[in-house]
This record gives sequence, C-alpha cells and structure tokens, in this order.
Amino acid sequence: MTEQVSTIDDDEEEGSGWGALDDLPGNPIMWVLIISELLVFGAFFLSFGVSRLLEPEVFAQSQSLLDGVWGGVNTIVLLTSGLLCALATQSVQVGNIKKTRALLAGAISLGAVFGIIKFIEYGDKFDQGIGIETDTFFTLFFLMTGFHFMHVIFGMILLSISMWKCRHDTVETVCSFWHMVDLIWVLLYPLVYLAR
Amino acid sequence: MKKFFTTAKGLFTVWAVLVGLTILSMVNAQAGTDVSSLSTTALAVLFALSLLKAEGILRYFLDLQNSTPGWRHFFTGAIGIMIFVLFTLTALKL
Repeated sequence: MTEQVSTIDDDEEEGSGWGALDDLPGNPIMWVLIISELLVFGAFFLSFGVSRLLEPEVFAQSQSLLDGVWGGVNTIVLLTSGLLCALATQSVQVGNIKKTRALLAGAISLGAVFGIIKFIEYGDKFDQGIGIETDTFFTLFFLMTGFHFMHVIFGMILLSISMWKCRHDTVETVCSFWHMVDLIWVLLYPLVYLAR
Repeated sequence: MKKFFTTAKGLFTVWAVLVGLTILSMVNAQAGTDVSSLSTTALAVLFALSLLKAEGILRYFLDLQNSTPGWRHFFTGAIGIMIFVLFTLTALKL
C-alpha cells in the first residue's frame, strides 16, 4: 500500500499537470502551439486546394510565374537551419554553451538567407505588377507565404533570445518553434510551388 | 537504432535524407521547367515525399520518437489525412 502511494506521488512529480501533453518531449505549451499552427495552415492549404479545383486555369497560369527551384533552395536552407537547432538542443543539454550559441547563430543566419530569397521573390513579383489582389492564386500565395514569413522573423527573434538566455529549457522550446516553422514550409512548398 | 538518431551523426543522417527527399520532389515535379501539369502518379509521389519529410521533422528534429506511440500515430495520421485530401483536390479535374 505504501509502495502504491509513493508510485502515485512519483508520477505526479514527473508530470507537470498537462495530462497527455506531458508525454510529448519539451514544453507542452509549444505542442499546443504546434497543433494550433497546423490547424491554421491546414485551413489555408484546404482553401488553396479547393480554390485550385474551382479555378484551374487561373492557378495554372499564375503558378507558372513562381520559381520552384528557388522554393526548393529555401526548403534546403530551412532544413539545414533545423539541423543546427537540433544540434544546439543536444549541445546545451551537455552544457556546451559556446557551441550552442554558435549553432543558434548559424540557424539565425540561415533564417536570414531564407528571408533574403523571399524578399527577392516578392520583389520580382511586384516588379511584374503582381500583387495580393492580382487573382485568387496570388491572394492565397501572399497570405500563406507572408504569414509563414512572419513566423520565420518571429522565430529568428526567439532564437536570438535563446542565444542570450542560453538554458536547456529555453533552447529546446525555441528550437521546437523553429522546427514547426520548418514543418509548415515542407508542406507548403510542394503544394504551392510544385503540384500542378 | 532509436538512440542513433539522437546523436549528432544520426541528426546529420536525417538532414541528408530530408535534403535528398526535397531534391527528389523537385526532380519528380520537374521544377524549373515549363511542364503545365503533372501526372496523377507524379502528384502521388510528390505528396508522399512531403509526408515523409514531415514525418522526419516530427520524429527526429521535434523528437517525437521519444514520445508515446499514441502521439506519433496522432501526428502521422493528422498530417497524412491532410496530405491525402490535398492530393485528391489537386488530382481531381472538374
């Protein structure tokens, strides 16, 4: 009986009151955010899919103006940035703060590279007279990639904070956010740039 | 095997596979060419590759491999359903 009570106590100490979310690695609130973001972007993706079904010619014509190769380069840039974050999480766990900061700086720099490529892409579209109101395709294109780009900028700010407050829980939570940004792009890129 | 993917070498392997899958997606979808539409098979391959990439990020970068099977199935199932619906919407021609 005493043993049973102590087991229950231990379980309560191990968990932090998040129920099933305690089974997920890292901060449970970050997983709540990841699920929420997947739902929001999932709704965007469905709108895109349905709109394409309704206006196939508009979508085919407008999509041909996108550069699938640069979109792919950006995917590789984000994946590499995600790798640096995963390595930073490992590094901070063993207390190697200097290496962790260097890896996070690398991840931020690659986030900046992603941003520069995106700016060039947007600039190119604006130069061609293409904007958010051009047609349904470009409305959804600018909304989805723009909203994702805002997450990249916010992620870079968070990564900078984790470089400054370089603790295991901070780095792990911020890097989870960064992987989520990566995950969304991995779903967005083939749908918007490649599938036709 | 599970332990391997928590090492730096394991993470580099995952990254190399993810980059390889991205390049495969680009080749499969003939990125950078004037091809106006893809075959249903090419679309199926494209969406299957994106599911694999999402799975790789969730399992190894977000460390879902150390969670319960229930959560792993939940995320794989949810993203799998979403990708299947997107594939169907793209492949359908009204």
